[in-house]
Amino acid sequence: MQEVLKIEGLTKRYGAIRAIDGLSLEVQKGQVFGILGPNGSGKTTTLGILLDITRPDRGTFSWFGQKPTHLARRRIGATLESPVFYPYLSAINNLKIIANIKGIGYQGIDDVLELVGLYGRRHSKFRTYSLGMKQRLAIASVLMGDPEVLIFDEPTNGLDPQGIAEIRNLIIDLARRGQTIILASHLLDEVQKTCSHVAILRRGQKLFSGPISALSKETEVLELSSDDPEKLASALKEIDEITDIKKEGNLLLVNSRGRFTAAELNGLLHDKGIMLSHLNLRHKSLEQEVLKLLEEPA
Amino acid sequence: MKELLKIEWLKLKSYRAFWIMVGLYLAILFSIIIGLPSFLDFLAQKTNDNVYINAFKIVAFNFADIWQNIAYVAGWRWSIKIFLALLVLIFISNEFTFLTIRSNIMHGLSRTQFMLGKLSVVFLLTLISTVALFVAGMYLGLMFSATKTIGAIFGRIYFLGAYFLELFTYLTFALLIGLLIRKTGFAIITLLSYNFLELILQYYVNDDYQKFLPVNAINGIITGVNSSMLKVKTPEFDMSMILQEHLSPLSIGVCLAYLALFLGAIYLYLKWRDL
Repeated sequence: MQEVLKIEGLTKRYGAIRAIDGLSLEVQKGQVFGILGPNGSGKTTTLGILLDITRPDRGTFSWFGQKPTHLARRRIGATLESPVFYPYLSAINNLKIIANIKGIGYQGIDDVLELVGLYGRRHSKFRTYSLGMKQRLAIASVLMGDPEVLIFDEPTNGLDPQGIAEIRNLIIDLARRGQTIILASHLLDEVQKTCSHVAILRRGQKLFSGPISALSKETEVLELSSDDPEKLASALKEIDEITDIKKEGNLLLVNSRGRFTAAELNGLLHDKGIMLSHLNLRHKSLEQEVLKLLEEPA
Repeated sequence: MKELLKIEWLKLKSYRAFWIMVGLYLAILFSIIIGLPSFLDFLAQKTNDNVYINAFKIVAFNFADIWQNIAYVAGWRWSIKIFLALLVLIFISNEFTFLTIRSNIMHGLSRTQFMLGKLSVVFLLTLISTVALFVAGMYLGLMFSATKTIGAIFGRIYFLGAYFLELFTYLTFALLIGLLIRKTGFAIITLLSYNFLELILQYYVNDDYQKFLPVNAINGIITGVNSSMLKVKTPEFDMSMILQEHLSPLSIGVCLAYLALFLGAIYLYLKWRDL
């Protein structure tokens, strides 16, 4: 695995507010990395620091295993907050500026405009665009020059449902081709549909980081009961892998954390001479789990 | 550097308001300089001092001295160079208003490169103004000058160099204010009101140190007109009081020091601040 981005202990304060607080993350090549959190959780501040818009108070980060410089940023395609272009310039001229900044030719401009469906309006001034068109031009600018990493900050903000579906499909398509993507979003659904990995932020702190699948395994709960609940409980405590056991009515709830299946647990208990009267795998929805994570007091 | 200038060119090429202002500035500059002889005629008519004014008119546009005289008029602190400063304020604060400074940095310009691009535009504006002044001076001189030898024509042309330094420093000052204030309207108000503020400030500063105040310093190289033929002192009027003959190395040094200070402040601001 090739490391694309490594963040260590990043902190940024605005007065008394800690926008991000000791954030550490790693993104590997080929990952579609979601940064998920409610508004004000520090997503844009983090991306701003990674793109040299915002100066961190503490902490370091590296792009492609090197100290971050403007040359590293040329290998990245990024959007930050709302689409930003010169309002009095056409789409083409705006993209020409970016091409010159990145040190690439103009030959890719038509292609990216075609891809986001703006080719027909390529000579119109940016200020005449609708919000959806502005958002799509931002996506086109991200794709300019085939960058090694793409950063999308709330890419579907302000789009109609059809636009949202288009952009998501585009991201999924890019991901399939092995493109490394960092996506900040407050929409769980969006992250779930597009990302392979996720970091959940709340008030500038990381609550969870890992593969999306780990987050779903986190939510698998086994419901158990037997005729002798006390014997069952003590048997479960003897199994090392089991870390938390909860009681709900006459059911015992065991979080498997993906380490064993229902059948394996049944086998283990059977060996200990326990017959289960009830065994059920309960899936909590990812949404419930994330909401729970976000609601926990800091 | 060429790449940075190209990026700035792409930003300005289709910015109509910018070109209208540049055109307007040049038109006003030409009409002021070329209109100077008629203005002196007008003054002579209106006042009782017409002997002096007429005498001045005869010698003011003679080659060699003409460069100092028109550079003084074009570089006067309340004159049209404010127009150019407004242009600079607009094109730097626009980058903050549109947030395009962020996209420039994000897509791969370093903060220093961004500023070098802006400074190269400031440099070009200064150059355009200086060249325009040269053209206007050549026209006036060839029309009115008694001496037209090559030696006379280019004799004191270094006053255009002094004009260039004053203007470049002044526009860099405007660039710094635009960067610090970020909002076009406030930046314009700040720049203009600082001119007045310094007048008040000057009142409290010892005469010897007044020339070290920033706006005085960046207008302090060319302090007045000259005419080598008017060096005669008359009992009632000592012309040498208002006539400047040479460039003072101290005033050039002070101006350069302010230029360095402004550039340093711009560099440090961009190094540390969030955009």
